[in-house]
Amino acid sequence: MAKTVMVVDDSASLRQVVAIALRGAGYEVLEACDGKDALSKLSGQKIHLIISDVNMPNMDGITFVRELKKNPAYKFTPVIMLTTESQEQKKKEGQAAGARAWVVKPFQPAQMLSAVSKLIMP
Amino acid sequence: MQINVTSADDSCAIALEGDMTIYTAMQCKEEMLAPLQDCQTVAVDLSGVFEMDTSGLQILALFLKETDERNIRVRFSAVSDAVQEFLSFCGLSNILGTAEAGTGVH
Amino acid sequence: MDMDDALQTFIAEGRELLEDMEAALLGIEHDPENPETVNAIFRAAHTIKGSAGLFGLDYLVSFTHVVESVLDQVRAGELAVSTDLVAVLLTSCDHLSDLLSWVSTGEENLNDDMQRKSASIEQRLSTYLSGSSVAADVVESSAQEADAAAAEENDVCAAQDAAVSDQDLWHLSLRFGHDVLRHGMDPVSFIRYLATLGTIHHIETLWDELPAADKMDPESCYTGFEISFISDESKETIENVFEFVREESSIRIFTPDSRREEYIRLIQELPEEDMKIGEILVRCGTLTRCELEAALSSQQQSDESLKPIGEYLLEEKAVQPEVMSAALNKQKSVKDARPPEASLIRVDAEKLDTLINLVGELIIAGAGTNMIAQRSGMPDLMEATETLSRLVEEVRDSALNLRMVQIGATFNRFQRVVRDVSQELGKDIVLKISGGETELDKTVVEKIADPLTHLVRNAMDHGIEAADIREAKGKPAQGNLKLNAYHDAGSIVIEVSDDGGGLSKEKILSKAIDRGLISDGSGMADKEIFNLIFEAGFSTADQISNLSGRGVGMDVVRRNIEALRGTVELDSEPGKGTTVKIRLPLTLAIIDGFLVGVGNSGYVIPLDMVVECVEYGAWKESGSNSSCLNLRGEVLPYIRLGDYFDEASSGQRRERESVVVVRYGEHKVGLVVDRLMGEFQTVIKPLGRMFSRISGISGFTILGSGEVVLILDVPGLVQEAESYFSEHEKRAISA
Repeated sequence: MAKTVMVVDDSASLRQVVAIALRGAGYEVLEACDGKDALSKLSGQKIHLIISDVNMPNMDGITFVRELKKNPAYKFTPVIMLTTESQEQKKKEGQAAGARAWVVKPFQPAQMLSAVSKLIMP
Repeated sequence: MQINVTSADDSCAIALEGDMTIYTAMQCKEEMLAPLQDCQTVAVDLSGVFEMDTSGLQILALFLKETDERNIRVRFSAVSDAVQEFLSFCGLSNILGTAEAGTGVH
Repeated sequence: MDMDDALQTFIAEGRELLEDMEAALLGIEHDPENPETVNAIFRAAHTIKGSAGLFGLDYLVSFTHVVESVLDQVRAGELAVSTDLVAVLLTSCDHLSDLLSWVSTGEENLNDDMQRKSASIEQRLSTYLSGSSVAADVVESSAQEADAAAAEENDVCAAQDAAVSDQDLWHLSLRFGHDVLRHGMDPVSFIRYLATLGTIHHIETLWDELPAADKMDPESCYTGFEISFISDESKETIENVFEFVREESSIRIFTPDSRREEYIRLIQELPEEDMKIGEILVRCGTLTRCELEAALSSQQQSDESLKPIGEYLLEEKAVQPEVMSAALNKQKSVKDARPPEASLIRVDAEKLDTLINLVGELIIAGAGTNMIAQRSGMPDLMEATETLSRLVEEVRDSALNLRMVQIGATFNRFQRVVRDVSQELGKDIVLKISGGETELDKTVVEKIADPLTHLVRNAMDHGIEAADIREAKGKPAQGNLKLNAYHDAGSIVIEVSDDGGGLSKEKILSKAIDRGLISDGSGMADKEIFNLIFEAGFSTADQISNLSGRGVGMDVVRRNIEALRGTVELDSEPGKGTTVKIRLPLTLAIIDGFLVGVGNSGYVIPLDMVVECVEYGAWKESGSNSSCLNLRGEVLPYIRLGDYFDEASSGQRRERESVVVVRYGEHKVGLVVDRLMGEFQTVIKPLGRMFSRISGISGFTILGSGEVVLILDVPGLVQEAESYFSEHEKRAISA
């Protein structure tokens, strides 16, 4: 059974490209445009991994991860956060919220694919 | 995760159905170790386990370690392909042994 | 969906971000302390860079990187916002827009021209960069140097020591942190990924740390692995397999040419018994038994000689980006302030047009059904069609609403124009915007930008005086320019006003006479005189300036606006300023029409311009040959549509004629018609080019019955009636 990845980012083009790369590798992909949207789309179904941006409208990535980890159905779901090399403070906040994997923007689709594959093989 | 335990005299059978992952590790530990209190032989059915991760593997290791220390005979009556593949990837193809005496853990 | 679609999304997204960026840049000069503004600018650059990387648009990434670095310093408070800096950033913003256009060409690389431009702006930007922001790169490169140095040393050692094993085996010794499972990291998953980079020669799973059952936390990790591995990948690639867990885990990676001492060190350092690890290494094929024995017996070696080995133990902690810049930690999240995108969807404008067209057809079909229902006289059917037409009306309104956009975004673009132009002119002018939330049709918005730009530039150039003149007149030195919008009687009104010197009637008159536009200015109202500047080839500036004196006159502005079925008029007060008022229809597609009959034809008058209908006979000045009606004491010029359009008279018409009073702006005119036929929803179909010059007609439509009727150009008719009326009156006076 294909593993499901949720991509949370306010950039539609980024979501599209990541989704294309991941689907090509055999993952199922769900998209959400911010933390709030993502939470509303999580209703107990199995999600193997979440990719989330940090800076998003409505609900930022850090708050989203914090909320996510409160949900028993997702508290162990790995999260890849998208960040910039200069966001050390955000990284610390993200770690406190429970995110451990980081991918630095800008990235190539292949980079994202390898980051995802390290955490969950398709 | 559904763990069915049936016991008769001093033997029992444990059948697992579901994923042996971090989400079920707590439950697996509790429900797999509990029947060991009062039995001499135990049969484990892993044919219903379709997903396993490191935490599932650890529970299996703990189970083997406990049974070994208590001299309980363990037999794996059935193992799913997913579990078999996972174990052999980790170099543990023989961990479930010939299903006789408690196979030691490295 | 494929990459091309995604790329289109990226370009559209990029343009929006650049608009935000520009708006924020213009705002920052007035409010440099506002972190939200800085963040908005930063976010735009950041997001573009992020997505550009995905598409492999390296030229865009490298350029935005420099912009971002500068902005990062501003955000951290290390760099103050200056006018110069804003100017460079605005240039960067423009260049980014050019780069986005370049993306749409599909060329992989920039041409020389664009490259030079990128380089020169980067150069300008980099003068703002202080040491700290490049620190990251420095750290990175020094780390690479260290790596290289280590590799070099390794080579030397390898030569001295020869191969440890007959196979080129990597050895990985992995002890994962207790919390990795809790964070969703599955160690076996990383090893599975590792397996894609080569072949796992031997793997041993270790549980020496597994505690007794009562102490064992099922969510903690107690597992370790010893792996021998065959791969051609670089050390870095293999290290990076564990990038997400290396901080909390102990990951030791030995290259195939690692020295024996390193393994001794490993054996000592691992928590398991020395012999056991040694045996594992032998089983892994990493060490031969003979080597193991030699290694264990030489354990007494002094620590000093082992020291360099520590460097080979590739524990990553050395190159942590934490070093990069503590100062940057002040950053704040910026995206939160973004207008909510979540509730918006992007729709192809063509799809909307198709929908509107269909709604148009629906309206026509609905009108046809209504007519048949009326004729049939069946109450049930009439009731049903009634409901139907109400629904159609609602569908029409919401469909048209889809095309409505706020004019604010267009207005905001003028902040930039005003800023640039005032610098160019050396005038201090501030733009005030109001009514930005006023909505109008997207096509109208697109087409209004040009005329507005012209008016704005004109006001700045000719309207607002230089600071010294202003002060001499007792006005504040800073000039004010205002853009305002509001809805009025089915149209949208856009005002461009300045507090400058106002127009000089005398100058306009003399120039107009000079140009032969009029013969004599006597008897002309102020407003008429002012509006002469919209006549072709008119310029009142004493000096032809660089900005608006390029021969493109106000007549072009008027033509553009009239093409949108709008009008423009100007009012001015000497010494106080000038206001240009543009009146535009809300939409170009559908109107509520009032159908009238003239002769054998039908004509449609836009309903929102109809004031009232009166009986012609009742208000006609009996006996007089005047072109005016005396409507309740008000003088009302009128036009006989039958005469105007040369409709064949139907004999007894004069007995039953009606007057439809229409209003446009401040003018009221009567239109004399034969029959009043009621309200209709009308889809405006444009006239072909052949007929576009016919005055008094703005388009046509098809009735439900299939009959084609013309739509009256009320603004045009009003103007004609007015001018005819004043000519007539003048003649009457002079006679």
